[in-house]
Amino acid sequence: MNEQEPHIPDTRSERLAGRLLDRFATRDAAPALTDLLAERDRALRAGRRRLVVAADFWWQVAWLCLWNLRERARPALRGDEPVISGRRPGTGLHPMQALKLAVRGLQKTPGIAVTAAVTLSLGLSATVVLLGVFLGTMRPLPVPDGDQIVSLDVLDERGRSADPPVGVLDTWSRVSGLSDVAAVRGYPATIVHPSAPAVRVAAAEVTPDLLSLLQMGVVRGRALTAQPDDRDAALVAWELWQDAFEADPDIIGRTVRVGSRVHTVVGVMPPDFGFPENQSFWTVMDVSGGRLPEGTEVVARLSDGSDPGRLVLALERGLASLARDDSVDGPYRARVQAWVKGRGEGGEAYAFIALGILVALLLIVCAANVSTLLLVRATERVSVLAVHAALGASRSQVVLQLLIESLMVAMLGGAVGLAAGYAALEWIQGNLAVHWGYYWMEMGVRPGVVLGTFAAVTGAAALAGTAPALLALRTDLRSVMGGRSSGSARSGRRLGRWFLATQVTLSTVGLVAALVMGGGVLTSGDLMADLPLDEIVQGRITPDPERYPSAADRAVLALLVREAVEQVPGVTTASVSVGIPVFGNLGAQLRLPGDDPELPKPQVFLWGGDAHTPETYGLELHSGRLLTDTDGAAGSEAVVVVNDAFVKRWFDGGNALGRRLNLSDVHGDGTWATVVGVVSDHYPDRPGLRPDRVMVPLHAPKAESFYVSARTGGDPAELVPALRRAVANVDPTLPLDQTQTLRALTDWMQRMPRSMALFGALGGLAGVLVAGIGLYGIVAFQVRSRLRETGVRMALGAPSARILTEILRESLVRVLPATAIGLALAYVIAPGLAMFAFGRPPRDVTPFVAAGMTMLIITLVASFLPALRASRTEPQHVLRSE
Amino acid sequence: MGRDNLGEFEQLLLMAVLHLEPEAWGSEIRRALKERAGRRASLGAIYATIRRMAAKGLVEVEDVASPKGGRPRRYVRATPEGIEAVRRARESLMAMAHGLDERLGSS
Repeated sequence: MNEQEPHIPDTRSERLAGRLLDRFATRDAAPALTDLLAERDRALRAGRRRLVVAADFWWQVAWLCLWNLRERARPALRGDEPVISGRRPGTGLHPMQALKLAVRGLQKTPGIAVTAAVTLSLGLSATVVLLGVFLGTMRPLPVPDGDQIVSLDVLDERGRSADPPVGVLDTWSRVSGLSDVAAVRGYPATIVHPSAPAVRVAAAEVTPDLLSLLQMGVVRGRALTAQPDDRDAALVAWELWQDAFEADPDIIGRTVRVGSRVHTVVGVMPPDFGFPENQSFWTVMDVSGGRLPEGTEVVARLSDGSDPGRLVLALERGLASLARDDSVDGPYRARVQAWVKGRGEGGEAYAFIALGILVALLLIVCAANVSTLLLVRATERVSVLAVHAALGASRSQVVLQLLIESLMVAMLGGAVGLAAGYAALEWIQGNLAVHWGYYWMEMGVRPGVVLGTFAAVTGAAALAGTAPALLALRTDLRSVMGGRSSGSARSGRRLGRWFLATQVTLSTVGLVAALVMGGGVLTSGDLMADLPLDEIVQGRITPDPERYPSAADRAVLALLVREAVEQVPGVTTASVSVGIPVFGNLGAQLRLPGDDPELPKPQVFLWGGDAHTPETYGLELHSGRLLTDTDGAAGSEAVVVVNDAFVKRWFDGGNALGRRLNLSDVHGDGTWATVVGVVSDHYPDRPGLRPDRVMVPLHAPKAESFYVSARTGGDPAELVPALRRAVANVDPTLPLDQTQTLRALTDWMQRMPRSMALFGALGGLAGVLVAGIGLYGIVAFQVRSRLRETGVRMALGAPSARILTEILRESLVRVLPATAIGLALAYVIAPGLAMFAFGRPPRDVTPFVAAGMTMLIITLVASFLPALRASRTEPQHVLRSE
Repeated sequence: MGRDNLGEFEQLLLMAVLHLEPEAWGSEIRRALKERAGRRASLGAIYATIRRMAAKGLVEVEDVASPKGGRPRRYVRATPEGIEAVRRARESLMAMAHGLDERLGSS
């Protein structure tokens, strides 16, 4: 209990907490920080969630500061100490009193204050999330001066990447402008060691100077060296050591086998290191003779102040000198780019840009709406403030009062928005980033982003919240009390109308998109309802290419594994396949007889399956026959089985049996395969989906890995250990990895589009909420500034119901055209959402009707409150001041 | 409540200090309050109360830097006056509770 707590070095958050305590809890700062850190470390050791611990930590910091402030303020408020000591020049108020007044002011218009805060938090959280993701993927490598790490690419005359020529490493390492040059090549490896099951990992062979280039050290053992004895040395990732080697303390010196080579582990890398992409095993690259293995990338560290343009020229000169030695084929060009650049999957950049534009719009709209709302608030308080001023309150006092109120709203919204943004980013990092990110990517809240957005929105809030006060102080009391609107207010209203129309249009588009996407999320689960999702477990085997050199050997091994798996108790059927069965993740280019060979060939998806695959996955044979285990073996005729959707799409729904097709990636260009059977689809053939699939024989694709699928009546996940044993009985060096149930696989496959759809849906709903708030603000403002007119009309006998319906009608007239334009726009862009609609027709009428109705309802709700207020105006109240 | 009487939180805190001495410092006191009395108190409240009791002379505080150069801790010690105050508080509580066993139940 009372041992000296081991202390983690100062982090940014600790320093910030220290500074806050120094400033606001001066008397307790140092010991309090000790206590807070001790508690935090203890909670972390006890395994509490980091988020909860961090929240508690900051909560305590806030309380410490507040208690101290309270103690300091107390004597002043009680009168024990002269108030003058805590006085700010010009305000005449103690800060605590000003704060109290501000709280009281906010309590008078709680609806507007809360709505403004909610709007603010929406905008802030959206921005924090988007920029967090964006900057997270753009992060430099997490090594010292990571932005100096570049890849050096060789491009051929057409600008395509080419393999680096012989001798390039030597030549380039002499180029000035680079402090180090190394080479790295990723490869998949199966690591076999006696005391644990074999594991399949992403490995990399590297030149030994790579670690010194990255300025990274090992946490155990030593780094790789260029010594000849080190040819078989290997480093393992911290995570691999923890998981596969169960944190074996004697890991250094252990030998493991990868293929026919035996490697000795000489070191363990620190946690969260996976260079070049997500590797966890590093071996020494053989660069004798200057020849680099195919697929090698050259990585370098720029020296200080190197000029990129000059560097490229120097690298190209180096390539040219190699060309003179005849070791290079053609005129090559060189390219230098940051290591992390271009390592996102294609399409993400566009998604980011699109999301970025949306978020920017949302932020602008939010800031504008907050301004409108605060303007409404301030307008409502203008008369009170004018009275204050008339009673002798100084100008700065009134402005300060409003400023404090606006800032309090901004702070409240900001805190909620930040918390929401933080939670969303945590979720993205934990659930999504692992599927498409590289090891250096980290989605998190960036202090710069928080400060920037906060400053922008707070600034807008401060301006909108205080501008009316300035106005009130300049105009004379009578006109303010009389509620005469000035010319600037009228032009402001016109601007507000256009702004509202744009907002409503955009929100309608957003709402339709949200409904399409949301509907897609809801129905996506039904798509595969016909598949036995909860009865199948899959795993992958990768035969050692040195033991099984030919594709035929590997296919035979796969069939042996299937037999062994079928013997496992509880397994009803089992199958082996190339590529993910049924879903068919292998692509091939399709040619049908009569197609123009010059035209680009369409892509179709296929998998290679054995005789048992359709039965295992519940596909029904609709005509012809299924494939057998011997189809596709050497010398036999090329045959395929297709599904209904394929027949519909490519054979116009006619008889497919006996038709011929060519899949160049499987059969080569010359061979035509015959369709021998038609099976059912694995999911419904709906617009926007492509369920057309081809099943080729197991032997046809020259595969390195096979998927083993076992179907059972019980819980499929429980079969995994027995399956592992069955596979090990066939060949102990054969790892069974990527084991997962079919349910988990389909969830994973849908995760990305589902998450995007979920985000889209949330974004659209946020847009509608914001538009509703904007509408409320504008109608409230309008009602407020026409209060006098309303009062006069009511005094002349206008019934309050008429006032109410008039305001509602006016709002509808303003909103409906904008909604119609929005619906039309949405109709135009709807086909672009097909991917997120999960097979529902994107131009389905339901979302459009629902969006229109929602906008109508929101308009009525948002206008109703201010309208009700106007209809209850007491004429004598308004007119008394005349 | 007069100046010499202890508030309920002060009583709990002083007793926590007596339990923990000589290792009575902020986060340990907070833990003891939670574990023994089920009271969740913020560190801010604990520090403020300690300061108030120190002003009354019921406890003494000392900020001690760790010998290994770490961060300083604020150690709290009950003074004889503090111990006397707890004793008085306990006596008055017992005196008030005497004869109420039937209504309060014996625990």
